[in-house]
Amino acid sequence: MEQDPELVLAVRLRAGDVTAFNEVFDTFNPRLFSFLIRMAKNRAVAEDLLEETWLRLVSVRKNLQPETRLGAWLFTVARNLFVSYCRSRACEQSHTGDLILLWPAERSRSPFELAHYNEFEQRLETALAELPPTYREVLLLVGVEGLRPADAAKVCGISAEAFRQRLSRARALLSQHLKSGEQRHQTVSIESRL
Amino acid sequence: MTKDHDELFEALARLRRIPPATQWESRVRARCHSLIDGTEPEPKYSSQLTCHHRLPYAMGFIDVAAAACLFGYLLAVGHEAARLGGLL
Repeated sequence: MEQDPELVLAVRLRAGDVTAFNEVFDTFNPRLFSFLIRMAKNRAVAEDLLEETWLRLVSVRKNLQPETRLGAWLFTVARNLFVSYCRSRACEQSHTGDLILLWPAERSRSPFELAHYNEFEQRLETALAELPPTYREVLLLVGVEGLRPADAAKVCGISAEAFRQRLSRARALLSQHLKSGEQRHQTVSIESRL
Repeated sequence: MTKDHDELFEALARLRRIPPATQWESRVRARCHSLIDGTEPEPKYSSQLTCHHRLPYAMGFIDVAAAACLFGYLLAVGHEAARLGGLL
């Protein structure tokens, strides 16, 4: 029977295989960063939290259990680090409405790329950013990062049923925020034409 | 699940990944390699976040500035009280 690739990577990582680390890093770094930057709404904080996440993986690699699912493990650590950070720093509530401003400067943003960051995406990002972190994280984990609800529930440290309810509430809230965002956008459009 | 909610989830799945900075990525990867290779000693595991390094310096400066202002104010109040009390 073919072994789960994540489990195979965990075994190789335990043995100190650097190429295994590179595979894990290449696979999960972009996803973890996207998750953290949408949670923290600050690039520098997301970078620090993610660096800490990787350092922790490297520190405990020899003690990883054979059945460790690296993806869930990494998201759990990243999420817990964010929660700890918020508790210790009283995260500011202001949000960055324009997520494209969080793109790194050295990655060129062509006019084509910018135009494609269309109006609906912008409103969706804004609506996501407006949600309380407990609702934002469930939508990011399942909706954006594609974790299975059972895995995402473990990441959040809650039961599957509690997660299901939270996800349902989060979707309803996001929908509300999108609608009010659309109304604001239409009001601005009308006012600008007057 | 309503049709609206399905579309919402599809829209979420299409949100683009925000990439980390190339330089940051290279630095963190290299640091992890050094730790795995043993060329860099493994950090003492701490629950403190590395990002604390960015903030406490600034917070310490603000604390000192606030303490200095308070001290100056108390000194001025004390001086004025002494003057009004005829001690000075």
